[in-house]
Amino acid sequence: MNAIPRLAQAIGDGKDFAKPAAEIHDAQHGKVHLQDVSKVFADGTVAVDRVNLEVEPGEFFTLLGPSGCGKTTLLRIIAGFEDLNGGAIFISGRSMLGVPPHARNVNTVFQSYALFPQLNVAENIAFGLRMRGVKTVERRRRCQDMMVSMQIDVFAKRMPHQLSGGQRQRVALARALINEPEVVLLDEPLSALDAKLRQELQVELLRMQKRLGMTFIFVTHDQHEALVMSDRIAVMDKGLVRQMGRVDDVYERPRDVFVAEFLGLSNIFRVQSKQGADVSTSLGMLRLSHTPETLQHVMVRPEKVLLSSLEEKGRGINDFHGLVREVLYMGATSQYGLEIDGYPLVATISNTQNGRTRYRVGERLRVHIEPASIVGMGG
Amino acid sequence: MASSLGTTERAHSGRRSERFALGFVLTVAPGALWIILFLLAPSILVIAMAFLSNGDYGSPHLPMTLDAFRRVLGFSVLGWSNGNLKTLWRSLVQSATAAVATILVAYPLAFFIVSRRSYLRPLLLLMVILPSWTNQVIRTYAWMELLAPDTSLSHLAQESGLIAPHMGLFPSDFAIFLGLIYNYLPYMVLPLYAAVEKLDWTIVEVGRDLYASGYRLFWHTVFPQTLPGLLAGIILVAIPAFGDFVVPQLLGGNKFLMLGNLIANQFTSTPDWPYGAALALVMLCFTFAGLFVFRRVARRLGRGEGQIL
Amino acid sequence: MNFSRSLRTYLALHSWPVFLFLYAPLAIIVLFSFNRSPVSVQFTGFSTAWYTSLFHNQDILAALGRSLELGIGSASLGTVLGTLLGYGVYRYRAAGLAWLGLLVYLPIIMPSIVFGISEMIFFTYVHQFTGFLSAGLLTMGVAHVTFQIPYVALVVYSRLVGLDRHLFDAAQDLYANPWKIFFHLVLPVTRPAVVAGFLLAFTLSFDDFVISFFTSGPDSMTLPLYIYGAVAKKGVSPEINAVASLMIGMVLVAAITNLLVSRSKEQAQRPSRPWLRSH
Repeated sequence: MNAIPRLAQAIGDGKDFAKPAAEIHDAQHGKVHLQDVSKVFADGTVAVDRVNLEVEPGEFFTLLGPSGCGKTTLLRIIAGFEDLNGGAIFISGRSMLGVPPHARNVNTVFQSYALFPQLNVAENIAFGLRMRGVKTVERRRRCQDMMVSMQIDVFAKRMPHQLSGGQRQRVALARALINEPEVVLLDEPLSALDAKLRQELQVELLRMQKRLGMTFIFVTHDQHEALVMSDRIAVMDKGLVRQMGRVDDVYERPRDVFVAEFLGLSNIFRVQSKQGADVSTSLGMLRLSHTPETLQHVMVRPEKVLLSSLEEKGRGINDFHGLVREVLYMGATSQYGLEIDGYPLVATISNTQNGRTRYRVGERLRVHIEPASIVGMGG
Repeated sequence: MASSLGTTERAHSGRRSERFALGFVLTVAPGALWIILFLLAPSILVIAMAFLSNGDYGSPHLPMTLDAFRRVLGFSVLGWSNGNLKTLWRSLVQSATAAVATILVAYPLAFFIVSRRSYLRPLLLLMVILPSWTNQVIRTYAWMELLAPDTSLSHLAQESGLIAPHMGLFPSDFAIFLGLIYNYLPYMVLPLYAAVEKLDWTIVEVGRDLYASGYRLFWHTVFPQTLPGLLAGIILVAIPAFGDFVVPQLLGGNKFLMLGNLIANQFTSTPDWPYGAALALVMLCFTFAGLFVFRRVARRLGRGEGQIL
Repeated sequence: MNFSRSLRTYLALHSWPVFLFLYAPLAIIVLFSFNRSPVSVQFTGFSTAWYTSLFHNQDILAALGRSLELGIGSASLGTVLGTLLGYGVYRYRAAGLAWLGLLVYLPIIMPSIVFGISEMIFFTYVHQFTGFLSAGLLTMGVAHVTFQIPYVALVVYSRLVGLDRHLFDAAQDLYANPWKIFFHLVLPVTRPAVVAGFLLAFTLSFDDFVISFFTSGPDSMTLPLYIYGAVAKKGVSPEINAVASLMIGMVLVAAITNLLVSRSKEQAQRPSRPWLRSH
């Protein structure tokens, strides 16, 4: 694992062989800027609709959304595989309009890995260096370093079809990283792996990115993956970016119903009327600590719902009586399906807290929601 | 801002299409131009020639005339004869016979190959195809040898009274029939095998609950699934069999005129290019019409005609 | 596929005679090529005399030489053009080039007799007006390349379609320009298909009769033309048996080699089996 800092040093030294040093705007190295980017396919589908994005150097940025939302198309636009129908795209401050993929200092890790079947592991990893005309001796050295750091040096002579899924994934990653690109693009690179391996690689990938300080743009439809790995995320739907921001902000303060439902579990209620900080919903009157101007729904995350027994004293506002309809035991937590005046509410309670935190089906209890925990949203 | 974006956008797509054009010219153009120059252009020349008059030595010249087509229909200085219509009919019958006969042989054969162990299947398939790797003339010649008078097969036929004494099984319609099956069998087996190999047997299981008899089970569950392969096979057999002139010439002893022979004759023994060109045009029309109909049927079946065509 | 016992029996009873039907004529040719008697009716004793006389027959040897020359020459050009075309059709398949598909299929669906006479008329006129392309091996070669291109293109195309399409993105992504993609990705990954395409093109050329018949000149008698001429004139003859047996032998060797090669590669890659062809 010691080879990775060396690689990071190499980037820090500014030893970029693709462009003369003067051409690189240091502050912008690894920055990706999309301006009103649109993509319409030949059949008329709008895959990407006027997207504006700014990914900062060294950031782990995730494009999250359901399949068909345009996230992969956006990634392919950044890589140069798709041309734009409108807008502009800048990588490290340089316009990428008309720059073909092979002239962009950007590398992609594909969902299918796309390892060259006729080349062995070492040859696959060295492919980019070879195409850029790096001398054999240096190529071999850098390839060896990279394979050691990725712990795949023992497979150097194997062919791709002789590798397991996880090994292929590492080779694909190594093949991208060895070129020391300004930006690494990852198209659902972990989705073909089983759950355990996936979690291990999530952590490994994240650590590697932090150590290398490279900009990573990661595409996934898996909300957990997005939550674990990202500095910032953009949630996409139907070609539009619905919300962009720090991952915890987006989770805590989703802008609309789509984002709230796509990212994590949520209880969402329609706002019927509004008087100051109090809104009327199907659940009853709710007090919010902050009310945005366009308020159509309110949302509360299940873990923000506080439960207590009926004997305990209520707090006056946002207090309800609930009936336990369903209990899902999930190890560290339990998820409760509650019913309040005939309306469902989901609550998640940690199982490791002191005191009584377990409730049975059919039990009545007190439900409290802090005003600060309630998020007002638009459509 | 908007206008500057617009121009960069245009310049950008311009460079893209230049790259596209160059790649296209370097890869597709040589082969496509070759086919256009050496097949499409010549066949257009043939079509044009059908409208010319015939000269003394078979060399066509102006003026333009429909004379060749009149003769195709059987009109000549001697009046009308149905000879050409008969020839066309015989060729159509030859094409249909070849298709039906190869289906009857190939259909069970495809199931036989699939019923064997998976490692044997490629070998059996290769065994079916192997004879077609030899020259068509040699294959046909082999049947001449096998069916000639005084061979054991001919003796057998003589003794059972099928043919007159001292006659051979060749030349005859029967010999042509055998030669056609022999030549075109692989083209029927291959697409059928492909269809049978990927048969969805769960449908047969479901069908077993719904249909009592084996025949109805087959007709409703297996047959529809093999239909695309069957159609592809019919196209692959019927088209070349329609124009075949080697088999009828060698095995039929040149007694039975086929459209293929008739065309060939206009360019060899008794040159008459415009007439030959008009006949070729008739053959092309029938071929493309047949192809069009079968493609339509195949497309309606939803699965296209498979990988073969 | 658990066929019932009686069905399996029926299929076997139907199919083994079919294989007999397929191989009996070939066996007869080989058998009579070793016959002492010049009449191919009864086997009167073993002899290799016909092979000896075959190898002293300058006409046959010259025809064989021309067939090989034609086959190798046309297959080389046909493979180059067909490979480029197959890659081009794959590369630009999204561009909606339906006419291109029709064009590629044209040589395959065109009845060979019409194909043959078209070429003949075309070459006659080209020669008449320009003085180039007089009927001979060259015109035969041009015609052969024309029907080889689509078969090679189809073999190469189906190999490319079977690959992960992201491979091409990956190569581009790793700084390969279109030239480098062709030489460092397309050619290496399609090599088995290109080799298969060449062999197929050669076989097509070596076996073709009808199109060769109409494009040949007075000095370009190839082996199939020679055999046809001899058969049409004299009927069955033992020397023809001998040369036909040699050709059957060549095909057998090629088939067995192909089988062994594709077997050894089977675990690694799906073999392309371009067994199907016409003419």
